Amino acid sequence: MKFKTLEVRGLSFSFEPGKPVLSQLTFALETGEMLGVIGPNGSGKSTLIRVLANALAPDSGQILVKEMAIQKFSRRELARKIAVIPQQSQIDFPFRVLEVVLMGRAPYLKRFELESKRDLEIARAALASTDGLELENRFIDEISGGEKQRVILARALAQEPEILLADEPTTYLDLHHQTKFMSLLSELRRQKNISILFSTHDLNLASLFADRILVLDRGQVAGLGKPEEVLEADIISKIYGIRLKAVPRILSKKPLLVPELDSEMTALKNYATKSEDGSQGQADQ
Amino acid sequence: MALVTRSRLFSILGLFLLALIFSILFALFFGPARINFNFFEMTRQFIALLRSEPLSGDGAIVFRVRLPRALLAVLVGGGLALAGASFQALLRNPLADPYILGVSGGSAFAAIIGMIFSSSFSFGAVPIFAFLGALAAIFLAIAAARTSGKLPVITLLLAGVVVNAFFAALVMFLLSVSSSRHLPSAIYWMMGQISSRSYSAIGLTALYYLPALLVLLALGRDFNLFALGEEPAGQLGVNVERSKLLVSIFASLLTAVAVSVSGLIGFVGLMVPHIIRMAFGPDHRLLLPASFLFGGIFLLLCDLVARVIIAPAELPVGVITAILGGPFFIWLLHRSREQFSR
Amino acid sequence: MKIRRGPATVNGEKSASYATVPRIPGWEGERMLPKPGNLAGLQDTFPEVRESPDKSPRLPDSELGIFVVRKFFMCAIFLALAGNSLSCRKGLSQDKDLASSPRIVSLAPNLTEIVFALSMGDHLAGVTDFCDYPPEARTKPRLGGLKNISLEAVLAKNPDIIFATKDGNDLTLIAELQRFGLKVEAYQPRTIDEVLDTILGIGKELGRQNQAEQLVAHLRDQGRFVVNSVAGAKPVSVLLAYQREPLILAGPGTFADDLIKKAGGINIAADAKIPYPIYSMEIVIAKRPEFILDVSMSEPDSVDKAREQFWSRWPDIPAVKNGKVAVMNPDLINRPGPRLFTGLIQMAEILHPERFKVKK
Repeated sequence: MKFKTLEVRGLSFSFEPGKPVLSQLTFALETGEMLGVIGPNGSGKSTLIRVLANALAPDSGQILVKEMAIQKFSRRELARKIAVIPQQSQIDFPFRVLEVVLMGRAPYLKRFELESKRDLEIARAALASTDGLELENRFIDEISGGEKQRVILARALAQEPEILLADEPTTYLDLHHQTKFMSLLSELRRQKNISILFSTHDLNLASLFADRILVLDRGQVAGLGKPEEVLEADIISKIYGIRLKAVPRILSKKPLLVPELDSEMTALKNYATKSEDGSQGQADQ
Repeated sequence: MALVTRSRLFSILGLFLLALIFSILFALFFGPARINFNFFEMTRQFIALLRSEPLSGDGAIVFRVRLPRALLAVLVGGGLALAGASFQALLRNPLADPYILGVSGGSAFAAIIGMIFSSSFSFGAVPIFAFLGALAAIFLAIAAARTSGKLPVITLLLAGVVVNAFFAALVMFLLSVSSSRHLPSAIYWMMGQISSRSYSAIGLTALYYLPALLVLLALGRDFNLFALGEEPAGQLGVNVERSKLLVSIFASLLTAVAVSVSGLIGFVGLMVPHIIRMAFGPDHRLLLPASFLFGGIFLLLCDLVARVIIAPAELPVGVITAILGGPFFIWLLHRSREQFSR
Repeated sequence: MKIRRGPATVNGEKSASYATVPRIPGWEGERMLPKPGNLAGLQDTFPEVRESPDKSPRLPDSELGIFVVRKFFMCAIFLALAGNSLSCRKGLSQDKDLASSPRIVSLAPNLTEIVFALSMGDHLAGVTDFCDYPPEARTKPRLGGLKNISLEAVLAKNPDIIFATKDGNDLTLIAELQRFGLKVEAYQPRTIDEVLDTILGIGKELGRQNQAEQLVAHLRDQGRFVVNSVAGAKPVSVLLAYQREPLILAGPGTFADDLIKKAGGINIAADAKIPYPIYSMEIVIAKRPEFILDVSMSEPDSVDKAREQFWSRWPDIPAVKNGKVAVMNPDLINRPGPRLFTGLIQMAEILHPERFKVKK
């Protein structure tokens, strides 16, 4: 039985009374696992991460970090356990990349204490593990989006967290960087045994990289389990309100979901009817 | 710019401190009156000063007029610069200045009331009124912006603008209905000036500065983390709401004390943090103390110009800072526009 | 009912004269017609029309006559409205209007004082908030401060003549009053001699030339008295402060500067480049004034702790050390009126007490 490093029980949250954003969520993040959270817009993905990060206070329910209620941690203690990667980072001052990564060490430093050599080493190591060491002296507002996400990841790693929460970390990255980033996460999880919870719009990304998937539908759990179990075309289609079909991969069990387009269906039907005299139409399943 | 390490911090701040001391000494040599600088005589006078004995002639000029004025300029300039840097970090706005939460309007209004109701033209009541007016304005702005225990930064900014506008209207009203003999005094006060006050008054000012200085310098790292955004800062362990409230209150307090002794000196709080940031980087653990020291030097030198440029008469120092500040402001806008268009 | 025209003359400078629209308050047409066979009523209307020594023909007392008079009246109005100043101006004797009970409006305290000094205080229909001397001036109806007097308030007083200052009052107000055809005389005396000219000018306007000349002669005597009394005495250095914080001194071109010179003093701020310079205390210390005249308060008799506290911070200044800090009423050195000479005498008594038998 894997250890539940982050557990959520009956979590409910709403911005306005009467309009719940999260309702009675119960799930757990196991040590060293990558949990992907998917769901349509408005399903509560971002809000969930903000609540888990203790930025928002839930209306009811419990959040347990390593089996201790989250409220029992001080801000700094929590910051040493949980690190958050936001969707986008807007940094207003011309800090250098290394300075930004060093900010991740803040939870470990006393008020007037300056960063030590050790802190510098940790920061550089974090930067190295995200393949960003050569960016060290560049200004944070001069690097590309993909590079910035990696810097933010490095900052999160500098916190030496046990849990990493990533809010749609690849939404603004191109295909190349998306894959690179997720592979990085996967690798880090393996190396350092960090538990990662990430939310994403990309079902197939989740399918490829997540150990388990949590499906959110209007703030409630609509599915939780391995990708091949959860990513059922019918269920997902209903949640997203669009027809999807699953395309099996050759070497992997993890399904690939693609939207079914009307034009495609018509073309197939025509093709099928055309060859009615001979063979049966090749209808995709 | 390199990382802020202990050695870098101490060396830079040490340099500024040295520059400050030299600037004060420099300012003692210059002024509208011609002085004979006999070193022996000056030392004797200085010792007499320490013994609270009466001074005569040139010694009185140097130690009773120029030195207190230099010290006050340093305090006011430093306080305004530190407050400006704090507000720029809190509001994440490079155009923020110390008066942004309504301090200019509130203190001007109260100061003019003080001028009207004091029977003579003595400025005795005015500093107290100005201070209270500033506090009232800050209180109004923060109270207006506070919603369910939080202090949203944009609302705070708007509240400050509104409070300023409100008090400015009251000032206009006062000036139009009151006796016209108050007009020159009011305008002069609003331009901002450094006067030679007694050492005890200067000491009192420094005393009022102390808590604000301590709080703001202690929040150095928090200011850095603020740059990442409020939620990321919170996730890195910062008590965001508490920090915002502390900064709003103490930076404004600093401004209120400065304004009560010197009127509304503009542009120092805006320019100095930018100059330091450009030279030494945005790390607030260095930026804040460096801004304080450089702000002092800056205003001291501006006051020097104000004292000698139309000698034997003198200009209010606010005129000099405004003349420098205007072009600087335009250049700043130009530069930040460039950044946005990138 | 009178048709008014009046170019503004500023004493010492003639400003451009311009036609004004005649104001015809309460003209009710018919009532203004003269009784048949009687010139008296007509003379009120048209002062041009007067009996010449050789007895010009009287107006016919008939319908035709009335018609002609009406027509003439309307022509006059039409011409004035057309803005023809020349033909309308000549012949209007203004003195005649004001010789009898003129309604005077004064828009500056010094001018009020002069009006009172010429015994015309009773005719003041309106003064400013600052007109406080003589004490009777305070009982006169108030029209506002110096810059915020309302046009309506002045018009409502139905003045025959308005006295104003060029610097103190709002120039647009003066222009507006003239546009309504009111007689405005603006004065801006800058030296003691110009003050005397102002007194004469106002005297002329009010038909009190004799009294004005007497007053001026008396004031000149006072001036001469002072100058003679201090003649030969060593001039003493003087600091005259309008205000302490900031330290605003009397520079060149101010009345105070002039008075100091005449009272046997040397103004330490005489070499300033502006009339109201703000000095740093260090200059004061360097110049070592023997006397300090603190004119920052208008109730000089009240003991002011703040004043003592302020000056006692600088015991090194000779004036402070020797207790020669004197207080004077600022109105005696600021107001360009007859009391300037009182101020001059006071100042001379302070600066050179040994030359005067001080009677207390």
